[in-house]
Amino acid sequence: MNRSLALVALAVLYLVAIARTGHADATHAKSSSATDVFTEHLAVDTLPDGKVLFAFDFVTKRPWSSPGSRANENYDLFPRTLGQVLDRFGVEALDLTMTQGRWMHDAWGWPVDGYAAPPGFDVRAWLRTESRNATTLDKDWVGLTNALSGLFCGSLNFLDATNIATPALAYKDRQVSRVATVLRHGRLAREAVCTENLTPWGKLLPCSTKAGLAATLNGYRLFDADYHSIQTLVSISCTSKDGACTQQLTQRVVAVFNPLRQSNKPDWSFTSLMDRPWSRPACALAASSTLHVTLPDLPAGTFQLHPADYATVVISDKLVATFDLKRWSNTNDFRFEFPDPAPLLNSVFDHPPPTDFSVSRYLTDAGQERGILAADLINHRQVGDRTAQYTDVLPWFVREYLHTVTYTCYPLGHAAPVDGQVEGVWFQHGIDRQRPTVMEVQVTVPASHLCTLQVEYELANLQYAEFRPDAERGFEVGSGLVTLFLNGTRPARLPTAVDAKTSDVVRIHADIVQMQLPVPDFSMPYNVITFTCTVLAFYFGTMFSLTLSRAVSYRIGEKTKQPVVVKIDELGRHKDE
Amino acid sequence: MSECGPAHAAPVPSSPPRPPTYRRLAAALTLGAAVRLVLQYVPAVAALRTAAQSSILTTTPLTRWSRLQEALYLYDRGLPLYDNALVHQPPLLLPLLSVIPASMHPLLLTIVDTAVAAGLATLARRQRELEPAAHAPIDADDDHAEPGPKIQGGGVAWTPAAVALAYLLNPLSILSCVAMDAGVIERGAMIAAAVFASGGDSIWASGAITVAFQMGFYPVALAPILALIQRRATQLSAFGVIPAVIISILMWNIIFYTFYTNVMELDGMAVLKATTGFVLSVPDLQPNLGIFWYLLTEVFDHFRGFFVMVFQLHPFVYLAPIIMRFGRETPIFCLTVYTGVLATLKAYPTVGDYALWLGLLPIYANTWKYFRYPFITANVAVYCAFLFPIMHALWTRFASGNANFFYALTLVLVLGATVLQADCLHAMHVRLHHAHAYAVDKMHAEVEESEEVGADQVVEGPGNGGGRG
Repeated sequence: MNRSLALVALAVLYLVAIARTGHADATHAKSSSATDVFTEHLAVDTLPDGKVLFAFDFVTKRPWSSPGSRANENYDLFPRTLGQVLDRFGVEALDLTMTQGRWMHDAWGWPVDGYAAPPGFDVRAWLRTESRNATTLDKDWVGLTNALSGLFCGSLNFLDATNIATPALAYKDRQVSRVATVLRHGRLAREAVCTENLTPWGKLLPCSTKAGLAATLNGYRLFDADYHSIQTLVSISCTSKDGACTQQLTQRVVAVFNPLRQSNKPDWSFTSLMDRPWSRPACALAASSTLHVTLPDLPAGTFQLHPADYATVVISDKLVATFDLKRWSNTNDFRFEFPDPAPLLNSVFDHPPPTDFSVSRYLTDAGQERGILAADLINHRQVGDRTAQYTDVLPWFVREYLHTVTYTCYPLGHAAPVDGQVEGVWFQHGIDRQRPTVMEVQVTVPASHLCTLQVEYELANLQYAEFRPDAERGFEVGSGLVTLFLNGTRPARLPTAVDAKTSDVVRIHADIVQMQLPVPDFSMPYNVITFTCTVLAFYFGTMFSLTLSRAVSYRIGEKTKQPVVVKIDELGRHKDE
Repeated sequence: MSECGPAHAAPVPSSPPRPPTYRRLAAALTLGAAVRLVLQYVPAVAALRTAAQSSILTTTPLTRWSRLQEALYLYDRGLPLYDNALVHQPPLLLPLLSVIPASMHPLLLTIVDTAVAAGLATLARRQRELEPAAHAPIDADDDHAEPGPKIQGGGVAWTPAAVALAYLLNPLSILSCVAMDAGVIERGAMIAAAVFASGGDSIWASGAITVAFQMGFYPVALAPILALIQRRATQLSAFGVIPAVIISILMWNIIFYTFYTNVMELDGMAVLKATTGFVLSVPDLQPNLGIFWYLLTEVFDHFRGFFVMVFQLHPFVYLAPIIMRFGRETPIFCLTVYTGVLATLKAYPTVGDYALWLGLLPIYANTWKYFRYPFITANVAVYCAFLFPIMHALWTRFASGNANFFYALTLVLVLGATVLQADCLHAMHVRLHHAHAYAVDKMHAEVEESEEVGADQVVEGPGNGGGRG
């Protein structure tokens, strides 16, 4: 009896061990992951300006039953640490992005939805509202951010009620229809992304960063990229037929490298960009492991991809080289070379702008007390208006005046402004130390027009302890979000993601602005208390001595030696008589 | 009534009392209103208007015009008025402002500010009757002088028109009006209350002071002083008047809040929290002329509540001693002193509060000759007038100074206000004392004359005048 128990225990330990090390062979792995499916995919694309986009997608799917069900307690490849947090706080869907740099829409074009994320840490959680009121939701949000904070080593616990928003327009297309949910959106614009965030993120992968595509992720090189975004995206989808639900975790790394900066040549390889060749074993737990390299739209012969024995497919009108890394035994590096870089480099300058809509957000007339926050929306198209939603979440100490919201359009090349067409304004005033200001405006940007959305704001004066270290630097005020509805007019550019739905919505994260608040002298607390109280004591003493002391005079050398104390009524009577 | 005559009218003892002429007062009001209208409407000075409307010296978060406009915008669209950190004015004005076209709003404030000046003139005129002690003779010259503007108790009293003109041409009041500070309306309500009280009308006085209370909280402290003014006007007992005023203020508040909740369909608690609560808890730490902002910026969190409480109680501490000393004889003087106390010690003071204080002071111009430190006060005034804008710009605009520069000036201002306040109190003390002493001397002299010489002889005043101890 005892021996058989020990044997079972040993067998279980063995299974767990092989599942976690990733060195088990595929048949063993398959038997232990009968339900969860893990796939990995890397898409590489040459951007119009010669930079290279790497987009890693690690997708883990698992069956999911109703909230609180025991069946959800079975974890296989799906990370238990994350899954339990999501279950505990009733999270239907979660987007957590840790980003540095900006996706340059005007140079790189519109990305696949989600590739572009705002700088800093950004959390969007769709919380199930069933049997929860606002108070419990707030409590669960606090629990969720604290748990994520511990899980990803970020300061997400600073996302309290003062800087989370529930936007009414933004992310409407992402709204879950299966159950009633509410979106909570929080952002830390200043939070820096570092290896301490990448390491715990990598540990959620079935093979960690030891095998498979994740093994090529080199923190030193990744954080040196022009733009990088480490994302954790969770969603639940159900089939309409039998109602079976799947919880999907997408762990994504998007990075834009600049090979020109390193070698002065547009050539790139895994070694040159990541400082690691493709030589690690494939992750045995992955059901599929693929590499897609989009071939640039250049004359044949001007570029070469090594190894050259690739198959090609056409995705979104682009020729894409595909590699199945599961069957890849070659330890050779992937290299992309331009024997004749002239066509590519010329196209950097000759290429028409990859998008026809640009956004710029800036401060004008700004001081330490007040200013105007403005966003320019430019529609470069000759024909066809665009509908855009502008969403801005500002910290409570930026007090925007709703009555100063103006929207003016200028025909490109002409000075005379015309009235802009505002379709709707959704505005939430901020409340001191309680909630942020949220402004959402839906506007029409006519063809070949520059439209300016402006709002005046006033800055509050913070208390001594509310300033962060290096207060003179000011506060980064999160990037405005422009949601653009293309209505099928998306310029064909980046295909990249293998299962990318050609979304009709483009989200453009506008520039972050920095606001400087009037700063007190941080060395003064005791001095101010003593100075102010001294002056008040002087006031108090003077007033009381002059009001309560009685003027009494003795006149020497006169007949009467009585003190003069005469009531005014006597005086009045005397005068009247 | 004859004190409304021209300042240089030759005293002719035999002529009948001159009919009241308001020509000078009307001229003063017209001039003051014209100056304001020019600054409000002439496009060439638009930059001055913009600067004044956003300056922290002329407006505070409580009274800033842009906040009132935000409230108006929300009101016009039926949006919740107080679900924000911007609106801190009671909803009272909004129906009125909503009806008046926006271009007429500066005109409205000009009218209110001119009415403040007219109210000051009325107070100055009535003060002669209500406070005889402040004008009692202090030497034989006064006995022989005609009751007129020129000689009053050894000092020169100003005509009501001069009092009005002094307020209207005070750069501080002009700036406050050009800045469209809602405090203009609050001060209008305060002066209206004083004028009603001096006419013996306690219901309307309470109504006006309730408006001022809802706009700025502190004016509620004027209630007992208003009751005392009314007592002088009506000869009623203080024990009857003070409760009457307090009860009618309560009634007015109930009426207003009933209006807010039932007619305007607002949440009464939200109104109270956003208006009076905002003043009491001082959450907005934008710099101003007062003493609250920097202390509450710098103070450690666990002391915050204590300091807010002590500093808010502080202005009310002076009410009792001022009333005890001056309330019975000279309640309008109490009003003057207490206006100064509020200007100095309130949480969100502006230059307009000082303008009102300085506007009330000329009513007691006949005590000014007893000022001990006018040179210091004048210097502080000049110093502050120049350095406040400079230090603020150095801190927030040019970053070559820091907050301490501006803070130091607020301390200097409080010290200057202390000196001026002390001078006023001292001067009134001396003035009253001399009048008493002279009256006693005269009484003694009369008694002695009647005893020693006989009742049929003419009483002569003592030639050497009252004791000037």
